[in-house]
Amino acid sequence: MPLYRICFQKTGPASYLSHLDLVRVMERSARRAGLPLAYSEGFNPHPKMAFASPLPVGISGEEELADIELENEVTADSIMEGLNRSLPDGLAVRRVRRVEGGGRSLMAQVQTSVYRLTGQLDAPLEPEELNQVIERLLARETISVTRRIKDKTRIVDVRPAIVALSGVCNGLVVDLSIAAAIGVRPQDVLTALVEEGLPADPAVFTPVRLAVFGAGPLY
Amino acid sequence: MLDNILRRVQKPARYVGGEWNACVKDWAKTPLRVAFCFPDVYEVGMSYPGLQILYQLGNRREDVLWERVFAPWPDMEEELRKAGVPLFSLESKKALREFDIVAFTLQYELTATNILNMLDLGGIPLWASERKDGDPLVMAGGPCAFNPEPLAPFFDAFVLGEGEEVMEEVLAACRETGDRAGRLARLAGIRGVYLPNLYDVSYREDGRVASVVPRPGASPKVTKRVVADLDRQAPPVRPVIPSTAVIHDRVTLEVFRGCTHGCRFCQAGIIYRPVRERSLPLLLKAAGEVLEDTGLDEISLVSLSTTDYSDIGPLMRGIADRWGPTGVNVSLPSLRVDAFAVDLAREARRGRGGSLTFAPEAGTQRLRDVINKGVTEADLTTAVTAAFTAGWQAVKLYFMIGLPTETSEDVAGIVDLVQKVVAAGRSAGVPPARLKVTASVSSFVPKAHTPFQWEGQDERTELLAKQAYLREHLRLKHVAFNWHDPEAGFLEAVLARGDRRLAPVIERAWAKGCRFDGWSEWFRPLWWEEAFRETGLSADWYAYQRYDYGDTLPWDHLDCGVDRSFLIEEHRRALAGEATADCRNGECAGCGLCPALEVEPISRRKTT
Repeated sequence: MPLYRICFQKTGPASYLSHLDLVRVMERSARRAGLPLAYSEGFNPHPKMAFASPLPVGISGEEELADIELENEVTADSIMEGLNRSLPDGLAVRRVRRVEGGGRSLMAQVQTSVYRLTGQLDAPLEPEELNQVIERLLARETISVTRRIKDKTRIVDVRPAIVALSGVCNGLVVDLSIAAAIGVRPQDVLTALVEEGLPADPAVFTPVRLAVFGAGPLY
Repeated sequence: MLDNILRRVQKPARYVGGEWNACVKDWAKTPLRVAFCFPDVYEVGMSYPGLQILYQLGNRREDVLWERVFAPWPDMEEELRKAGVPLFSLESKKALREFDIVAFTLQYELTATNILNMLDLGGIPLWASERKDGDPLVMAGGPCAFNPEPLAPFFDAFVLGEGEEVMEEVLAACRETGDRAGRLARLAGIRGVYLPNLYDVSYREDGRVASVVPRPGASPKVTKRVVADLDRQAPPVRPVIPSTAVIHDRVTLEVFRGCTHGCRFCQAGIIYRPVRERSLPLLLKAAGEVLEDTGLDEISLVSLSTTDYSDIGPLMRGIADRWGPTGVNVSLPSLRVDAFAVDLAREARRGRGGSLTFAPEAGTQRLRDVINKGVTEADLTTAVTAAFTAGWQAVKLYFMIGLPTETSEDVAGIVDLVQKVVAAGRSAGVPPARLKVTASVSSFVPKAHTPFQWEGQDERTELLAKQAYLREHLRLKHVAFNWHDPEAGFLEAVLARGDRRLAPVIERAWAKGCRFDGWSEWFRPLWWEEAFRETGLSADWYAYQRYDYGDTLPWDHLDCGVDRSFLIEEHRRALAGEATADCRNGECAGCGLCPALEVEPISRRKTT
């Protein structure tokens, strides 16, 4: 059955929806739009939708990806138009195209996320100083981060997962770009930068995921 | 700044709005602004069908905006206070104090401290007497408005009865008059609106109410409003649909209002009389509209006793035929105890699991006759057998302990009934590993305007002993026993039967930090005890007080439409163990409501 890849934005109030919420909202919106969703077999049928990579609650996404399977072919335009009139605030479909099914799942293909973190510093930095902080971080062999999963605490090294890191600053405002493997939170990188001397409180930064990539572009 | 706060709290989506069908109007261009305040957390409030009715009604007028505010969870409250951010509405994000009208719904007595907390966080003076021009009108409706006295000093007005018609009148009055005093004066003239400060309450030596005296211009009694013809009130077909999981993720369709079975403990049965059904064509059309608009796959047919609806079969079949193929399920709330009801539930089920719920309420026939719950043991076994045979594997049974005239035999009867239901399950061939019977037992709370309003609640020690007995004897295979904290039930009784002297107690409890008293993880009975002690009032007195027929009750000046003599007669019949028939299809029992309010029962089926 035909598979469609949708590229959508998840911002504003929708950035506070969990991934499970998002799945539910997509299903309902597709129903409202009259799209013939394909459902799985079995006792508890669910719609055949696959998302590239769950976004943590509180982080917006500009180009999120999901594959949805429909019972029959419809035009990409009608999917986009239908969903856009049926989605709650903060969710909007940017592009839709038909893709071939049968390959690896979208989630299996995702390798990297690109984030942008914007915020205010506690003290102004020269662009040179910012670059030095970044270089010091990238020069480290390991960057340890504590992860709490339910009751267990694990220490994880996120250095290998950081693919690229750069930033610009102007007085008190700083704008960072991070490309990292899935599993690294932008907040972790920010905390590590603070350890290296960035004069900032991680809590005041607004993270946005700009895109996800596989070996190449995924859309 | 709000984003920073939101990232630090649990379930931030509770506070952001943006849901399907949320209505955000132009604040600057809309003259009358109403904040509908549900004094519990978002997930509970969004499952309340009344919210959708009023939201639709308020926003229908172009010159009115009607927005939602829910009680902030304690973590959010802390953040709001720390940041100095007032409590705000989900739609415009405006502070509560900026609205013209702040309208609460009183669904449950234990939301009292949340109400005060929301007013405080919203920047509104708690005491009505302290409010000035520029402060919003603070009003409330809902079932607890039938005895709102413990909260009376905090409110400018209460609305008694059904909201649809009276709220239109309230909105119109507030559009025509701009200032606070003017609006209150207009409200005083609207039928069904109760302004507590127009009544002076005095007390006897023994603590009971001596009199409730209206001031000049106020009528001695305030009578509830009732919508005579529900077909003339469109059901909400564009409800706000949460994007997050809430208690009930389904659309509701209100099939009829009122219930005249006459169960004597039930306040809803009195305050929503008479029965008024909606017509089948209207319901089918509304079902289609709401399912199409929302994209949800479950529709719940709600009322106080849905399987009594005259055209229930055609209604369910109509929805199932048209919408079943797209995966829509119809659900029914607690079923009347008979096989017919089970049949219907089976039609609705279409292959999903879950359990069926029945409410026998009492363990022996004698006690069921006392409370006028017309269910026999044979009815129950037939119904559960039908359920098990149809493929259900789990059944839930609701009971109460502490009912008037209850003896240990009656409590033992609960165990007996549960065992019989289990036996029925085994006989019907339910796989033993899956058979589950849940007995959910709560403590009886005597409610205003019921035949039991003169009765006191069972003492806490008694209730604990009865629960211990049940816990021990229901330790059986296939049986789960759920019970409610008697301390919470006790406080509910105090507030349900209370008078205005309790207002300072509520304020103290709130000041000490009481919130979400209906939630076991937040309930602090010790702080409430302190609040009572410091105010010099006895909680026991309120909960356990037995009244005489001649006494003035704290809520007597609020008229539910039913004659006092009828309630007295029903109380006498209860003590004598005599049943009273349902007036929907049979004889009129003479409660007095229909002639008094000029309404009549609307039931599409004229013969049984």
